[in-house]
Amino acid sequence: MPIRRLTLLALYTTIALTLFVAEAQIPVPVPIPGVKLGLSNIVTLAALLFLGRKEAGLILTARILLGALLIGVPSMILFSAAGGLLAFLVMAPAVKLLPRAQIWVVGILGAIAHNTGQLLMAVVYLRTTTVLLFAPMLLLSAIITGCITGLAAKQLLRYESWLAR
Amino acid sequence: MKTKHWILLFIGLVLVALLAQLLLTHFRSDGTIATIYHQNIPLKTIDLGRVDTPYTFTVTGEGGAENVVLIESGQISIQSATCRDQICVHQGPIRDGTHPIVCLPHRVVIQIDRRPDDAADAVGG
Repeated sequence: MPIRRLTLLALYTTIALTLFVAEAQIPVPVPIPGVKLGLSNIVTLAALLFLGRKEAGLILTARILLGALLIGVPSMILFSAAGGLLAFLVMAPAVKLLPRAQIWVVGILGAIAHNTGQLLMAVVYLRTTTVLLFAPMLLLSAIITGCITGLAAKQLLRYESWLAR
Repeated sequence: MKTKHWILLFIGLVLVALLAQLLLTHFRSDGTIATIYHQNIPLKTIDLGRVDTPYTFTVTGEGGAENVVLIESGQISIQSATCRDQICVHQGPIRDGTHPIVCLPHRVVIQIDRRPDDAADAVGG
C-alpha cells in the first residue's frame, strides 16, 4: 500500500473516531434512542468523495470496530454496524450519481438509511416491533442531522487537494 | 433531480413524519396498562390508573445490569439504570402508548396499552 494512501486512511480513521467519541460525550437533547448528530458520517462522505468506495468502506469498518472498543458498550457495535452498513450501501452509489453540489442530499439519504438500519436492528435485538413507534421521530431527526453533516461535507470540497488521493 | 426537487422531497418527508407522529399521538394516547419487558419476556403488568402510592421495581439482568423502574399514579419511568448512555432515564415518565421506554443495552422495554391483551398482541414476533 502506498504511503500516501496509508497515511490518508489513518488520518480519516482518526478524524472519524475523534468525532465519534466526542459526540458520545455530548448528551442528546432528545430522549429517543438512536437520535444523534452522526458527525463521523462527514468522514464517510468525504472518503467516498475523495478516496473511493473501497477506502471509505475500510475507514468505516475501522471506525465501527475501534469506536465500540473506545466507548465500551459491546452491544452498541450491532447498532453502529447495522446503521453504518446500510448508510454505506445507500451513499456509495448516491455519491456517484449525484452532482457534487448536491452532496447534502447524500448526507440526508445516508442518515435516513443509518437510522433505518439501527431501528431494524433494534426490532431484531429486542424482539419487539414496539420500537417502530420511534420511526417518525427518527426519520425527522435523520433529515435534520443528515442535512447538517451533508453541508459540512460540502465545505470540505474546498480542501480537496489536501484530502484527496 | 434538480436541487429544488430534492428540497421538496425532503420537505414532503418531514411532513409525512410529522403527520405519522400526530396520528400516533391521536390513536395511542389512551391506555393505562403498563408492561415491563426484559428480553421480550413480560416481567410485570401494572394498571397505572390504580396506583396509589409510588413504588419501584428493579429489573436485574446479566453482569449486574439494573434498571430501577418508578411506578406512580398514571405514569411510569426509569429512575436509574446502570447503563452508560442513560437514554431511558432521560426519557422521563411515559403516560400513554405514544412511545415505549427503551433501554437498548439491557433489552428492557416498557410499554403502555389499553388492555393487557393488547400488550400480548403487540409483542408477538
